[in-house]
Amino acid sequence: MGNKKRIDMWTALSFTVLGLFVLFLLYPLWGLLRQAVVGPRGGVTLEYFSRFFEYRYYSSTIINSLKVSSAITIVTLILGIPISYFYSFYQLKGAKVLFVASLLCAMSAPFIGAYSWVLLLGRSGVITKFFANYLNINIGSIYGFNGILFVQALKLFPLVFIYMNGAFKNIDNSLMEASASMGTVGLKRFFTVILKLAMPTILAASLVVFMRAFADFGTPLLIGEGYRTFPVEIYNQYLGDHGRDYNFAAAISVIAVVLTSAVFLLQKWATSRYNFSISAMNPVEKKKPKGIMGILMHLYAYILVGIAFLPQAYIVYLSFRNSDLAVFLPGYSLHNYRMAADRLLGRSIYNTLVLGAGSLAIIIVVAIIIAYLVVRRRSLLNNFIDTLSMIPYVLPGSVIGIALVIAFSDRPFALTGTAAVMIIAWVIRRMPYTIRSATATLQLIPMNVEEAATSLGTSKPKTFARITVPMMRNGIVSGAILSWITIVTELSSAIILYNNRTITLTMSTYVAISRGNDGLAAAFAAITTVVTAISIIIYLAVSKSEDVQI
Amino acid sequence: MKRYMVLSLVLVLSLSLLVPGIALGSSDFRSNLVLYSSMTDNDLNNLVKLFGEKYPNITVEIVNGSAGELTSRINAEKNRPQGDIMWGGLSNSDGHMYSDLFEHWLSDHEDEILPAYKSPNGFYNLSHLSTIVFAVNTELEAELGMNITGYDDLLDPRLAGKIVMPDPNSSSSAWNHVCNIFAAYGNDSPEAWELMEGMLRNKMVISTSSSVAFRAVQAGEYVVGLSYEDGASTLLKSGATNIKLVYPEQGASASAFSVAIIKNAPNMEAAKLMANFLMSAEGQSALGTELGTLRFTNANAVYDTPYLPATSEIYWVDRDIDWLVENKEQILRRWNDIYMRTR
Repeated sequence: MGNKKRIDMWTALSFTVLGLFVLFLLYPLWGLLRQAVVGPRGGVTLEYFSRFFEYRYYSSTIINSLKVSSAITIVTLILGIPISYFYSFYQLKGAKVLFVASLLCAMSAPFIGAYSWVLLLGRSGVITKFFANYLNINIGSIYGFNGILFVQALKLFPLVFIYMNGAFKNIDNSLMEASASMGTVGLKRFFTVILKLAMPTILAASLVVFMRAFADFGTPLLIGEGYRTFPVEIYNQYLGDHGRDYNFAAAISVIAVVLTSAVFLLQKWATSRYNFSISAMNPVEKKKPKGIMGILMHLYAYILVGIAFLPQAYIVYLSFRNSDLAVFLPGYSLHNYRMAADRLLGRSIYNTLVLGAGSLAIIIVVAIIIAYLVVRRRSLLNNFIDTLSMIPYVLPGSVIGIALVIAFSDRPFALTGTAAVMIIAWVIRRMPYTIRSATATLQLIPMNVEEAATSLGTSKPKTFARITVPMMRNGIVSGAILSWITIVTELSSAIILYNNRTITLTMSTYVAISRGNDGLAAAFAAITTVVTAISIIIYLAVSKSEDVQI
Repeated sequence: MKRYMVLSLVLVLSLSLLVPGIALGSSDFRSNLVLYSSMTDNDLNNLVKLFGEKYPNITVEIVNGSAGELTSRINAEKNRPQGDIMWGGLSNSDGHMYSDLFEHWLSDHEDEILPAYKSPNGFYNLSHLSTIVFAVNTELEAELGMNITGYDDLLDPRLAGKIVMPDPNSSSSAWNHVCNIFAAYGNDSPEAWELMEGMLRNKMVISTSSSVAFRAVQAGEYVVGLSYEDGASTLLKSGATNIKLVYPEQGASASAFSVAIIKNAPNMEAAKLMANFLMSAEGQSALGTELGTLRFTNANAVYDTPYLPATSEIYWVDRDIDWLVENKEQILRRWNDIYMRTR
């Protein structure tokens, strides 16, 4: 009797989750696809696709996006893996500061970094001018391919850092000792043992970085100049000053999704070749860094994080400078903040926090349910749900934004312009992080603990709530933090869906930048940075751990 | 006791619902108003200030964005309109493109508007002009030893990579410049196309945002920005000393931009009050005086534009608006081809 009831509950949950996916994911995507192939007078047409491939003006955007995102992925790995290695295996001085600072860099909206870098390294940037005037060196320009690579690599390497910390922590000391006893130490051990063991995580981090770089909208918009990427092109087609070509925007979106799917499958294939999982019974003891190597490690870590943090610090400094619209004036005051207060500052903060927290709550609940269904209750239906839950991985934000507008502009679901549609977008877009890490964690938890609980007479739901969920906690929390980071800095879907009621801090910042109001932009960007810093501190306080665990 | 309080509260509330109807048009009229606008902060801050002096009980909320962003937003929100009124970005060369997004309504002052700027479609109220202009950084210009006066200078190798123009595919101010080149050199003329190809060959930077074309020039990123009067002259007003406006000697021309009421606006009456204010001689005079950077369309408006040259100092050329509207897609396609060939 009880057994039957339990099956009913989980089956009902499976169908509920499936229903949500159909309504909020498949239905909008179907609308997008239809928009891409149906001509203005009805009837199926491939005109929009052929236009894309016929004109190099359009097709080059995809090539450019692929090139720059691949380069960004490689550079973030090169930057992020060493710092994570030093952090995980050695007792660095001020490790916590390094970690929190790089978390902050990751949390900042990418376009804020880009904007600040323009002020620092643009043709008349502070640093550029310094080099030109005092050292007579022309350090080149921040614009184009190199600029996007520079800004995005510095912005995204913390993600590699965070991912790799998790992997390195799970490397068992016995493996390290075993390789040492066979004479494999130092760099050789790093490459042949440690990196190999961390390979699944490296691939996972690469995918996250690649997808974020590929879909990034703000950075190329601000510093791309002639280097045209596809998210900007979708935006131009959808929101450009010259009328709307929804069909063409939809077609470009479909092409982009096909490409990101291909990359995703490639990554899955690569990961399948490293089909093992690691879990440390005795984690590696952190060593004290000694001698010249110790100094170099500290130098590397602090210089890297320092450079990445520079744009944040500079924007906070600028926010206190006097300004009149686009022109910064001598002297300091709170003028920019007073202006911001007149421009929906309170509402922007409120929306960012409340809509963000609401989205996160939904994400966590749904992610736990999905993880449980997928790992503990394998079935055809649940495998299908698992596959569905990965779709958002390959959907750039602008594509989700457009798909939701197409799906939910008309009655009975006239949701465009409401807070609901923003929450839907954020949940769809940022859920995969939490689902993945919750699923991965649950897979590592042996069934026998739960079986022990039930055999001692605990009911199944209680076992789930009291045993399973707490054991998944680490995975859920680390995934949820990634989700939260990306929600707070969300631009590319919000720009399509927001309005004055649902405006967020990043949107207010973007609007100020795009209207050329530098002082106001600096104030909003600084407040965004402060809000994210506070949320990190709250997290650290709540988790109460000495060592920062994520 | 409690019941009486509730009752009186209900009474007061229902009375307050009637008040807007009674007080319509007077300064006591109480409402919110959501303004969608692509205008500069200088324009908007002053509009809100002056409008607020006349209608202190209307709370204005501004949504900034490019014309394309805002019209897309209005279209997406058709079934649940969030905005009431849009000002700027709606050009007299749009034709009937946005016919289903706006109320077909003209202000009470339409008969006072200069003949050239009567509504072209019955729902655009043409309120002000946007003349193309080169924003020139005078410090950098002097460093190069140049004196920039017209289009020929844009082909000078000394300016290679130092000119910025927004993307005419996405920015109305850049399209404004393309239109002006045809007005000055002839519709579809080889000279016009040669000039544009030459500019692109001279490594002209295409930016994605319209404001870059004046803001980044002031900041010293570029020497010349292909921009518009209002944006560039606002820098002068803000105290920039390294900027000048150059009207090309081959001829300059303007687009007229409008204010329009969003279809089924939730605060319709307040929106109409603002549109009437923007189109009236009173409103345009007050705003024109406060701004000093914008030319208006009401024949009776009186104001100074200390940051702009007098109309008589500029060599004006006429545009063939019908031809431009009709051939826009073709022109942009050719522009994009040249762009790809020259990269």
